[in-house]
Amino acid sequence: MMYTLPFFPPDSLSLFMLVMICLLFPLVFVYSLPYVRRSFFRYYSVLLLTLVGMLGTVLAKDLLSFYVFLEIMTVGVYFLIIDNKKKESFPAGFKYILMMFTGGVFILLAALMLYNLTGTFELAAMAREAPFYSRTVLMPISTLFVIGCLIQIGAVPFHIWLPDAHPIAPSPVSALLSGLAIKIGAYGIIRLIFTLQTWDSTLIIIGVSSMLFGVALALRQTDIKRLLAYHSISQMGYVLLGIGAGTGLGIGGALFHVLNHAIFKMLLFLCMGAVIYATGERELNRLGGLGRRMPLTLAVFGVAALAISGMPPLNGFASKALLSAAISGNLWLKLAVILTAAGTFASFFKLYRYAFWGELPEKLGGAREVPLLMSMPMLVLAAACLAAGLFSSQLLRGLVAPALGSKLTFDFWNINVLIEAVLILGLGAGIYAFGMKAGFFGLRAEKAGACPVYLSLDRLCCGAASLLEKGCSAFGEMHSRSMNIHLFWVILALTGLLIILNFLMV
Amino acid sequence: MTFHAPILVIVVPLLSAFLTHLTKYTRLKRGAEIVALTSMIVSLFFLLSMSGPVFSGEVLNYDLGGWPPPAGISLTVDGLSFFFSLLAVGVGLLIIVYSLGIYVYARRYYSLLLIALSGILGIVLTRDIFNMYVFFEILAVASYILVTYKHKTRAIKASFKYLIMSESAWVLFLLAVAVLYGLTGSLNMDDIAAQTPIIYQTNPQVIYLVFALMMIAFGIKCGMFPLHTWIPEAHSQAPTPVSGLLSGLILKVGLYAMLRVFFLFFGAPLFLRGAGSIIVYLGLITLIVGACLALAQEELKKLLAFSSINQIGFILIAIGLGTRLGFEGGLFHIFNHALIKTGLFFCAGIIISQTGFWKIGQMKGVWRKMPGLTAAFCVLSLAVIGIPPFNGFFSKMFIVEAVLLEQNYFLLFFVFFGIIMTAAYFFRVIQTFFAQEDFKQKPDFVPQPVGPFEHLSTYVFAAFCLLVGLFPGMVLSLIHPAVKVLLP
Repeated sequence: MMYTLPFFPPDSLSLFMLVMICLLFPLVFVYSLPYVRRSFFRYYSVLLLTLVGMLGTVLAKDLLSFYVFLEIMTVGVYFLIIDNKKKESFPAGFKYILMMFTGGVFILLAALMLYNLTGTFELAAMAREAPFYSRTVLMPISTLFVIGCLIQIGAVPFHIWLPDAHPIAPSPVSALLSGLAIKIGAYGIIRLIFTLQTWDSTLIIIGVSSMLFGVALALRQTDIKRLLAYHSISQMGYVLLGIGAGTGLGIGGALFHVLNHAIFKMLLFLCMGAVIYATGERELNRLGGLGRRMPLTLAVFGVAALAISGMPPLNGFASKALLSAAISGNLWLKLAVILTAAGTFASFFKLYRYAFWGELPEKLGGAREVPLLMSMPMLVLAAACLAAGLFSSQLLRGLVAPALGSKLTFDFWNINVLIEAVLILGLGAGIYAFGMKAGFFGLRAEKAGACPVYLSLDRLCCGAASLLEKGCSAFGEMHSRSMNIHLFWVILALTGLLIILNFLMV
Repeated sequence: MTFHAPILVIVVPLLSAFLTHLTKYTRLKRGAEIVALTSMIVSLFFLLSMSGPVFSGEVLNYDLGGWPPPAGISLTVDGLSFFFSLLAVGVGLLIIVYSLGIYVYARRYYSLLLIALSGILGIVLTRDIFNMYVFFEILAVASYILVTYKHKTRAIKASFKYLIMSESAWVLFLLAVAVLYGLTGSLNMDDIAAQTPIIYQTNPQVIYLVFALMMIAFGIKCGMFPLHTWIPEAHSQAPTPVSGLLSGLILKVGLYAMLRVFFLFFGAPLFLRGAGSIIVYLGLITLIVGACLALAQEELKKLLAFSSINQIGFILIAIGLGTRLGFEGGLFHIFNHALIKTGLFFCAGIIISQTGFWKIGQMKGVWRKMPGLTAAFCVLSLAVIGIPPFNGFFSKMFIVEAVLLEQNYFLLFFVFFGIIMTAAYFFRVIQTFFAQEDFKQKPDFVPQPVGPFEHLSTYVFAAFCLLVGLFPGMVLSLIHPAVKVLLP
């Protein structure tokens, strides 16, 4: 079992991810320059380490190096998450690192099992070997790997780390996490299930539940970055839905959505970073009226919010149209997609209403537009949103379809798109009006109707973890310190061993 | 020269131990340190002079004083003993380097340290089972005194417990040796190994007795549950370099004895019939207990001590499986754990001497005062968790693969549980180090000056973790001859 680092030649899927990472990562770099005020050296070295991890995972030719670089990325991201060193940073980081290591363990296990089966870690060789094994052999292995990747993505029910970790990180890091880091998991799933041919439509269920669950919780948030974090869960649900659909359209849509989500979610996080930079405030309760002080931020926020809601001609609509076409046979799925988009629109309308509209609180009198180094990446991303939307068919033909080795084309500009957009706008406005009136997601929603403990996965997991810790402490207390008892244990062990040897080992 | 190398490896540090006291009569300012360092380097030189034949698979036999085995003592250098003695000399050298900077350590300290190291080398190289017992006692006596070196009450209590537990182990071992001698009339391991299958045919109960006695003796030495009880106290109360010695080498000597004696004596009759699975399941309990108790600790050094118990659990599982991959993983993890845990104890020692705090919760914001040291701690703890690209990853992967090939999913689950728990208790420490607020110094506390030697040896350990992680082939070429001894 010797191990070397096999890279290259990357295939078109790796290249797609590579292009995406290499184009978007520098923006984080530039944005961080004014944003990160202290411990520059540590911040940038860890940022570069994360980049190494990301590039390594997408360029890896075999599963073991995929795992190795994934862990490097995980460790880098951990130190970025705790970079703020606030009180909440550490529990969030702790949760993140433990869940990621658990996911890593699943991936390593799958890699080793595949190695035992095929005698190689290399993906190309596995693709050659896979048809000789039955689906019942490959399916458990693939499931392990996919679970590991789902933890990386933060899909329901493995999402519990995401709403804690993404908001607490410095904003450029949140953009990096939401925009690029969680995409590695999606890449892993696409890579493996099409190497082993173990595609399964169960992913649709996970995708749809992530979509609905994410957007429902996003509507209730009053912390601007936490709201975005829940949208990451719901948008990655679209990607999983596309992969689960399994058709060329579905995978194409999923991959296209990976790119689009990376662009607009990074933009959204950078916008919110700008708000936080200007005001030092994350609570919607204490924000308001920033539109006049920060017109540029408001403009790019508008672009991103419309893009994530799927409004043409911004990029979100293109991938969503592809996904809708992929599941066009199933009315329920279609309904879920439209409902999610409408909820997304409603929650961003809420964000706009309380952050940018209305009166500026007196405390925020000093708020002004962010420096050029921060606004430039936002402008670039907003332009990219527009360009990717306008030239979506060219982008599909030139970048997404070659990544999958298919000749996928799609006619984006038909009347259905317009109808859907109007539907989403109308439904979104309806949801907003209804929700505000009924008090489901006003500003004090969290206090109004807190979710019962037994329904919250997060509380359950944290409860189990603290129970384990309490158990360990109790065990530690119980652990005797008396030497007499220790010597007694020695005698007991000797007797026990002799009994086992003489009577039980026949 | 090469001909006498096996005995010279042991004798050079042993004689130097007495030489250190004579430096009192010379003009040399730091004579004891120079003698200690030189003797270890010379010992390393003699050891390396034998590397050629060992790597080519030869077994070097050396009869002490020219007396042939049944009557005389013979030393053997094969892959297994070469692996362990290289580990002992290398880690021992760095322990001495760490001690150099601390002026409290005088001649007595270096002389005891050298005696302990030569005891370890003797255990590893000898082929005579009574001689092994003698070296065990030499090592034990030297280490009892080393633990109490600073004359603190808690350390003396800890050392007393260590003494009682450890001596009860050697009493049992001596009993086993006596029984074997009575049965076979020889103390040479090869002679005994040749006769045990025959005895087993007629009288299996005696073999069971010997096995159980030795299991308990070595189990106490290596920290197997429920015999681990001396470890947390002794490891946390000893002076820092001695903690490194205890965790890095003395635990490993127990494992060496287990490997050597069990697989030589009982390999054929007992192991085939599932004595290995006793080791595996005791290892499993050790792993779980170590992990749970490490999570519950409040003192940093105690946490590291329980973490040692946890890691020993991994090693016991691996070697208990008795497969080639299991031995490779176990030996690799022995190597890695010796580097990592010694390094971690050094880190902890420096941090404690700088802050004056023993409890983890008080060590807030350590990174701002000691960024390099915190980085080293992070590297070492990632290595022990088993995160690539550090060395622990490879050994853990080998162990996981060995368990996976046995198709024992129950065991596999707990191995993974152990890995995640390791991450949990180490990240609990790391996040405290990175906290925003500064630790509040006690008003009357004066931090001891920490010189370059302490930092140097700590960083060397951290660097080795990365180096071995990037080039695992280096260590694997050392392990392969050792595995060849166990599984010819």
